[in-house]
Amino acid sequence: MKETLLLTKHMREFPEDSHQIEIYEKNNGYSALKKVLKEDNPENVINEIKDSNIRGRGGAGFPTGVKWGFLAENEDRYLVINGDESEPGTFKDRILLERDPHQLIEGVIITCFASNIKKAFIYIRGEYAKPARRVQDAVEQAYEKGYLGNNILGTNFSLDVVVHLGAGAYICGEETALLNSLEGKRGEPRLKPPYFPAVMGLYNKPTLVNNVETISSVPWIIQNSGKEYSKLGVEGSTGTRIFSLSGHVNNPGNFEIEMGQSFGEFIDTFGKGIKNNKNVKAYIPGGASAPWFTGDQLDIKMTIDDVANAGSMLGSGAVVVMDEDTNLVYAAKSIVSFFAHESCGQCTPCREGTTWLEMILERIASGRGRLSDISLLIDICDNISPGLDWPPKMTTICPLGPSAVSPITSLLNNFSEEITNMLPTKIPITQ
Amino acid sequence: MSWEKALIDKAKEIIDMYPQKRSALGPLLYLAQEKDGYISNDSIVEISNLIGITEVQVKSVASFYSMYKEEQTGKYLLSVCKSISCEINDSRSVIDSVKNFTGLENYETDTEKAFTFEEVECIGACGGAPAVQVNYETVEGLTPEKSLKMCEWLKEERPEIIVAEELQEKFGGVKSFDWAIADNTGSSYSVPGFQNIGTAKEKN
Ligand SMILES: Cc1cc2nc3c(=O)[nH]c(=O)nc-3n(C[C@H](O)[C@H](O)[C@H](O)COP(=O)(O)O)c2cc1C
Ligand code: SF4
Ligand code: FES
Repeated sequence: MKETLLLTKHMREFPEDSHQIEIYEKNNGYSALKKVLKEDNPENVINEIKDSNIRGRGGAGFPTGVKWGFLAENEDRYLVINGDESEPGTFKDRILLERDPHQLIEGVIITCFASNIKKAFIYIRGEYAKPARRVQDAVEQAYEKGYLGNNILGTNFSLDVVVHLGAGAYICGEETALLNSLEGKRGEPRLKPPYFPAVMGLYNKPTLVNNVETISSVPWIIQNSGKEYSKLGVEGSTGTRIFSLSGHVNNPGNFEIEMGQSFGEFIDTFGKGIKNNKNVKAYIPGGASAPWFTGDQLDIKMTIDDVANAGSMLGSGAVVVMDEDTNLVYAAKSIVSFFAHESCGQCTPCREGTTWLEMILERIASGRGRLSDISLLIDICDNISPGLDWPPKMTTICPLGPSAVSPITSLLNNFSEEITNMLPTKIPITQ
Repeated sequence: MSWEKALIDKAKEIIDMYPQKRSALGPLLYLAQEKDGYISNDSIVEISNLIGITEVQVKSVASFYSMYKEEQTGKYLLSVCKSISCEINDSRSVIDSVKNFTGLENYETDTEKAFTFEEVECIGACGGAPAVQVNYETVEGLTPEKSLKMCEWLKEERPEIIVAEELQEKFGGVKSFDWAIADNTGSSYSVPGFQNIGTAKEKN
């Protein structure tokens, strides 16, 4: 198993200054843009993206070309780059922002050219201070060199880019919450329909929202053609993806591979095995929202569809490995308490439910659990996500609420003894 | 204190970048925080006037986001991650070490206004767990001992600007990925160091 470097090639070759425009230009940077401007055929660009079959890297895996096709006609249309990356376990957009901001900016310009967009926003989570500075500097360099601003490289095409910082709210990664945040409002997800910001988005105008990694892939696709891109990976999960590997592995990090290889191979090859030669008890295949797989399920293939069929999701591409000594009740508690903290509070099942789940797990973890706590946990989960199915049904506006259910169903389905072992064996007499 | 002309000019420049004024609310709250170390009532009034929304609307937004602080923070905001990758790599011992040194509980600031301590959710440094941010500059691969040394160093040296690479080199361990060369930019106070945000535009 080897890495296939498309997005992380440049930063590997120039480890010291891949973020500088001169280095980027010297290595073919902005040549995809020049090609697109020279051909002057926006439709072709959209077709290349459609041919590539690339699916969004933000979590939902929606086909990017199809999304671009939805963009409604309007004088004002916007592109918003989702750089809110806050899903626990995920740090792949950080490397793209910090180490190769021009690749993203070139992708932004090409995307806007293809869809006749004149204003784009790059929304970066506030805690990413250094990545945000890098992107801001890169945007300034791009203006100076005429890649941004009026009449880009002497053409009729003009584009303005604004770097906008979030301020510490995971929920702003949800695209409609992000748009509210960008409008200067509380980051609360919008009620659907309308389902697609491409129809009604920022300021109620047609808006493309795409992830950092998705748009960073655009220059390569344009340079090498959508068809070439679609040959990488497997059908339904074409191209490469940057997986963030963390937890109990010897060698954590970001690794760019073609989709379709197994998690076990991935963890062995790049993670260099489990710390202290332990075994894997469980692992999370796609960020904290995703249901866990067990150590017996390491042969599942890393594709959007394989992971979905096995009852979880490839999500943000964050693989978190937990070894045999991990206390999974504590692990579940950490994840549930994340969602309780990040709930925007609009929906009662999510706001109250996640808080209750957190408190009950806290009680169990501290040795004060009750025999009835398991049925109580299930009851609350069922209120947030009826039937505890996968993919989850929802009683809430957005999928954050159901995400808090994942660790609990994972725990109860596969590791129930871990939780019952922490419960009292006798019914205590209470006054 | 109300805002001086230079700050108001800067605010207006930021407002001009957006199709609608209200979008500048987030960046203006950062300006306010950079000035005072928290979102003061005076700033709320200034911002509501600049944008043309009510003070309650400004407050309602400010209170939604965890990076806008309602009280003045210390010179160094210590944010220790407690999310899953850090949790299973023993972030709790790092939290204890920082709490012990500073004597602070979650969200507290000491009387000398040197430190504010907070437990935070994932800061995108999971490969280098457990991870900490000091004024939003990331340090990865910490241990209780290393975090203690870092706190002592901050207290002793009192650097004006926090530079991630410097902290990482002195006190860090395993990293999420290679960081490239230091660019020696950093953050001061509990506002990420992006004072230049909003300055990019066509040079006339
Ligand atoms: C609770 C929640 C959090 C999300 N967080 C992110 C995020 O941090 N970054 C991201 O790109 N997408 C995130 N998404 C997905 C976005 O809503 C959206 O699908 C994505 O940005 C679209 O871009 P893509 O098609 O390029 O993937 C999140 C979704 C939900 C429901
Ligand atoms: S599910 Fe939770 S986070 Fe999503 S809109 Fe409802 S309350 Fe907010
Ligand atoms: S879980 Fe701690 S940095 Fe991501």
